[in-house]
Amino acid sequence: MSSFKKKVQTSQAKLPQGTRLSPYNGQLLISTGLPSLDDILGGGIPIGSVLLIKEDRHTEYARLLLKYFLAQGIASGHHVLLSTLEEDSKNFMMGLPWLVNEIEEDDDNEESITQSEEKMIIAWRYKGLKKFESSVKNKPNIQNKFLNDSGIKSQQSIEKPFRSTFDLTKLIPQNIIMDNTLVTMINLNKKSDEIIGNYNPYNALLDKIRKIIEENHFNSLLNPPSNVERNALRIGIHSISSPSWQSNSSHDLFVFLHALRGLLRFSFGAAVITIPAHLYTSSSSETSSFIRRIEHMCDAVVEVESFAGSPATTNAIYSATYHGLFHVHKLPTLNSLVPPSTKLSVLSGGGNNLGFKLRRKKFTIETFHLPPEGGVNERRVTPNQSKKKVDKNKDIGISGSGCGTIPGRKVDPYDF
Amino acid sequence: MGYASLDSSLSFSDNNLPPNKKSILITDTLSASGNFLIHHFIVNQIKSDKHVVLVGFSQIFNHYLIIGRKLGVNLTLASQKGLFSFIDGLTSLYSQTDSKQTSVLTPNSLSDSPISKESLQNFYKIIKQIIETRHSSINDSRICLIFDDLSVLIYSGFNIKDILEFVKACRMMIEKYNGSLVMLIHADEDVSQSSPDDELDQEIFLKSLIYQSEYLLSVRGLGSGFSKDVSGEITIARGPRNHDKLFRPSTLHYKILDNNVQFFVKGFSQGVL
Repeated sequence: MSSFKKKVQTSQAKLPQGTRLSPYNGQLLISTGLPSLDDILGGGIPIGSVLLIKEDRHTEYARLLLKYFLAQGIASGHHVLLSTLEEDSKNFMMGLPWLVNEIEEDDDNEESITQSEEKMIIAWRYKGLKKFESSVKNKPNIQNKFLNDSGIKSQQSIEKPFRSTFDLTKLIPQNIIMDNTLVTMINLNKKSDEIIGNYNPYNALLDKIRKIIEENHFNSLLNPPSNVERNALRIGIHSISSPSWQSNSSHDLFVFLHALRGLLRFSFGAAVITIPAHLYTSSSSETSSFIRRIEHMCDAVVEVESFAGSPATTNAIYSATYHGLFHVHKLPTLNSLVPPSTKLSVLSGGGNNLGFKLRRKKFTIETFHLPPEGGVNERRVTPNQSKKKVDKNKDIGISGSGCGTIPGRKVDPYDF
Repeated sequence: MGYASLDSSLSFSDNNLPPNKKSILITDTLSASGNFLIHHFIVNQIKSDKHVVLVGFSQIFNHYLIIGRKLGVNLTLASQKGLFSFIDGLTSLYSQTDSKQTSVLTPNSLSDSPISKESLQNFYKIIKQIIETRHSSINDSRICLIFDDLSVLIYSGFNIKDILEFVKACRMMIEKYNGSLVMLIHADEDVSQSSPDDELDQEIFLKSLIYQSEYLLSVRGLGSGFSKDVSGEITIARGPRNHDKLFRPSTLHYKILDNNVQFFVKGFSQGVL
């Protein structure tokens, strides 16, 4: 027991703030800011890897995921680097979500309390099984409160959290962005004299990233100077390879990704890149070889597919519950044969289909189910004690605590 | 030994080592990575005290080291004994000035090392030098040269002819030492969707490599989607040059575990039986 304690203490001293070791293979992780996405990836994004998010059509959910990632970076005190050609990067940073107040109750907590323990009459054999989890809840985060109490404005919190809870209705305080030396926005827009020349935005971006890694001692092979504490770097690249990124050949992007991966492998950093993959496909289902190649060059690939973009699903019954599907194409497999996620993940471990929904305050990824037939609305008639089969079905549909095939929650008035 | 059930399916005589002067081509897809097969060949070679030169374009040394440790070989030790050499193609592909086998991060800039025939020739020289200095001393070194992910070269924009020439040169060199060649490439591009240039490149590349190899290991995900008990499907086939009468082609399912991979006949998964 004592030796175990000792080991934890020594290793914790070395970890950069806001990071955590994977319980599966000891890989250093940083959070995406979303408990559900962290779960899917096996606890978080491994340091040294590149996560690719394939963007949705017509909507901006992938952009939201990137915002979560960057906001978490600021909350964890990491060095945050953003590059976008679609919009002003300062505007992007100003639009980040911010932490929830500790006083406000999480709406989910109430629900779990009100869920009554219901006796199973028909499927009593299954009573002993644990409840089927369709979503991941952020554990009550003490550190989150810590941060709010001590005041982030003073920039002197005791320990930066691995993951915070964000509220989409809150905007990040402006002074945090403006005064923060840890925020780097890379402006790649061409200067007028460079338009004619052979300008390659990928090379320019890579050079800047390399410079930042050198200047801020993110290189894992060199020990930082004794007065500098090791920090982690988060790189966010929005809509890479969109028409705004003008380069001469498609190979530029592959070379960039290869070099970035090689660079990050020996740095305390991780990158999240979103790509408008739909621009490169003629039909929605097929993946073009260009995109497939990019997917091979990244460590993890996920895709956000919005229902708003696809006419076939807008009228479907499940479009009321979910806003889209979430596909996992490739999981980070660093230093292990099996992706850690297959052991640790609640959501994707069993190969479930995943869907996502955007509520007023938060974005969640859950396992995808068809709703029970007849809907999950409140039952109008009083419960009948006679053993009608139909009634029993509905009964399970409402409470959902038993059989576990239905996400057990009451209809939220704010749900849409 | 590596994965026992794969050894029995491949049924290479002589201690499960790849036969002399033969090359093995591994093709994989996004849904099922073929990386686990690389470790099989590394472990088999090292455990029989034979030499390995690994060119890693997709992973760094640490990755192979940690998995090797789980499979029962210590690559650092093997490297000190002169059995194992690693060439880091991930960080140093675009600046091949240093011929160190260890992973040294060099401030490499893309602009001053253009992707050209010369840089591939340079790369070949580095490999040759390493093999000559470290692995050719013993007659029976049975060296195995492994390329983890040759696709990277194509993606980076090297000329297809140059890459094929490079591979051929490597093969000739390996044959001198009674060695074997293991290559991994990705083969799941949808040809109908790609632009004509890429399509041609990928087609020519894949088919030429198939033509040059004696054994084909083709890995792909299950057609029916994800399964907990089966990670994917592998087809072991003979290449056009292979005239081994004893060889039996087969298609198997496999499941990747923490420190082993089980191969079994379709439908004989432990989860099913």
